[in-house]
Amino acid sequence: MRILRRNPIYMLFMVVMPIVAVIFFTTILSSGQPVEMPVGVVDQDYTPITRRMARLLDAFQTTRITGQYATVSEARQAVQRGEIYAFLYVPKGTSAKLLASRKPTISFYYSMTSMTSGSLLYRDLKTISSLGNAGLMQASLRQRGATEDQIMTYLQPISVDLHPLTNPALDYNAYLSTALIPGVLTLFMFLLAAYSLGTELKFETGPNLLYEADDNIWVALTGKLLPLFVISLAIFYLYELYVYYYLGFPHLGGAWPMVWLGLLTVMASLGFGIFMFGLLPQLRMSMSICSLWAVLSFSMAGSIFPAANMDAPLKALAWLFPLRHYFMIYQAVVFNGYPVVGVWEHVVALTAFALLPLFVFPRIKKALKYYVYVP
Amino acid sequence: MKNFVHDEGIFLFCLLMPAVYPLLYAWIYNNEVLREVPVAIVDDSRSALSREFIHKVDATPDVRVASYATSLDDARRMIEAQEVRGVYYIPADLAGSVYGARRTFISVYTDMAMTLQYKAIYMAANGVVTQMNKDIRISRMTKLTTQRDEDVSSAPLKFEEVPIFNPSGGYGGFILPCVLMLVLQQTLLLGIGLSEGTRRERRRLITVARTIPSKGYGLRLAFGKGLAYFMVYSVWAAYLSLAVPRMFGLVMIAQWRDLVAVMFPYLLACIGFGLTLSWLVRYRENVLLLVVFTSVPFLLLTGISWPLSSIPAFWQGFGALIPSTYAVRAYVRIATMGATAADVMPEFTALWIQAAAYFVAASIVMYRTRKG
Repeated sequence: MRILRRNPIYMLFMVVMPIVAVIFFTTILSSGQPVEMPVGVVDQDYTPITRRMARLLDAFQTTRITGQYATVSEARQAVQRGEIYAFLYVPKGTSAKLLASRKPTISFYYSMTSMTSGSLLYRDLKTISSLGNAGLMQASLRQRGATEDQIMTYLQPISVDLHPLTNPALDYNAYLSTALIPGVLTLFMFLLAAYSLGTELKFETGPNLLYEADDNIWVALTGKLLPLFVISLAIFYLYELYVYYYLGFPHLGGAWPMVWLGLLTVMASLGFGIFMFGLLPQLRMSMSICSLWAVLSFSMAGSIFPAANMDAPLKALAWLFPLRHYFMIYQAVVFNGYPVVGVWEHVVALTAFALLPLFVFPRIKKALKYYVYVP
Repeated sequence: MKNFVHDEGIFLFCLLMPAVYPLLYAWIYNNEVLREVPVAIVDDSRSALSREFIHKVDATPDVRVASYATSLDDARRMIEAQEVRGVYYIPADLAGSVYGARRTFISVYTDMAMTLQYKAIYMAANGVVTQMNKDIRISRMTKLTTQRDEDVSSAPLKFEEVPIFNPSGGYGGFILPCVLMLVLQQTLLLGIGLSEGTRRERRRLITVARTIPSKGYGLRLAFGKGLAYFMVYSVWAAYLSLAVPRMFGLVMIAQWRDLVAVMFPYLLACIGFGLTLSWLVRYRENVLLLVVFTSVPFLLLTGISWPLSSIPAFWQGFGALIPSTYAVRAYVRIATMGATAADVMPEFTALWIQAAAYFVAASIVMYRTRKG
């Protein structure tokens, strides 16, 4: 208890840093979807028709035309300098060919080195190309006296109707923050669990702790870790409250899943940290392993690149990461509001993580009693 | 130098991690794009046309028809049980509408938990339907005679999409270059923090200020230490920026002169940054808490995974303090986009400014800790 107040590290990393992390992720992604990304135009034809096309591109929410370039290689250099993400190339004679029905080609160059911008721009391009074509066909059909309805039926006999069941706004904030913030929170919990036990060794207070607890490792560890547990849980609930009720991220599952999932995640994360310390009863090694694990969690959780599409051995390894189970349960139960049965194996796995420390209690006891800190 | 091998912690972070981590990440993202996302089909039409759609969708690399459901409720249960990630619903009147010249819809139901999966499911359906529409249009144009006529009137304007740079659009090709550069910085910060922390603890135990501070002492100490780290890390820099991309077949079209021109100030800036940060470290283990969690925020700040134009100005300013922000931008452009040193001039100068500023700061830190 006293240690909590004496060492500012605890307060800093249990409370302050998690809050900073929550604010960081939610503000940096606050626009939800990238808007007004800079694109360029290489218009060598420069007629009313081609200018209208450029304006059409500019009108999209995601794009903003920031520059006109004379040649393709100039525009490419601008992409390399990082000034624009994509450019539209209209070669000379496009309008003339169009009027003569000779099917001209317009090219849209986009860089996929930045995935988010690349795929969003690609979507805009798809829309423009079909709009552009549809506009031209519409005009020619109207001249032949077709009604609007006939035209649409002609142009698109079958259309694809998208029903996004949840998060219809495609808010990236709701995607990324909900995976990254719990990742950071579990990271702190991993490290602090190992840290709080490890410092007992470092400052040789282990025997003292055991003495106060009447040589009962249960009492000693409960007393040691209870404050950490309570504060971590509070921070986790605070985060959930903030993103789901203040920012209004999709949570079709309602409040209950959040409560038990939060509890389970905090217990599993602390459990993992304690377990690691039990395996390697040394401050430095256990913390190092915990940090390696936690950093890998971000990728292994499969929140952005799904684990189902990784190589088979990695798919199996993903089971060893608490964050992975958190994410699978979260997306099914909290985000989509599906019943828990679909992800029962992940619930079992998280519970197992929470119970892991039980196996290493005797080891920790021995460590606290006899081991000496080696720097 | 001896410290490097003798201290397990520093050994782990300065030698083992830069070697192993990139390989691990490259392996994770090896598959690059999503293939064969499982979907369910609800086919109320049961016509030649609906079967055509199903076959064509199944044939796309993006999705795989995992099962057929009898009703939407049935399909919903499959999504809930996580057996499939999306549902294509084909209405009963599909064939009738198409031949009777009415509009009709194929519905795509998907939860939006994972962007890449949603994209694969939607894109696959869209691609197939666009193709089918074109065929239907052509089949209706009885008056037209030549193929060229059909072609021109079904799409008078041709749009060509050219993905330049990272043309496969793979996730690995996009994220790995950023991760490689970040590994370099983060392991350096950890290594420096650990060894500085150790030195401080030891000194408290053994002697206080063995050497008498002389003029320019801090500066000399900072440079001496910096040089030691620099020697070890120039090997890693070469390994991470050249060898790993080659091993995993990432796009690598950099000129070696340009790469060296960026990596040199980057390493210096990182070392200076690390020495400066070590001022915050009282006990050696605290550095782990401080540095490890910053990896993901630093990655976001680089503006590669999240467009720079959408990052609030405040965080952009914060990012300007971090060496990786500029180094990642410069490296990605040089390595995968074939930019030259001249193209990344702003990043290049920023890195040099950081290197200089952090070394001055580091000298002050060194001087003060030795004194105090």
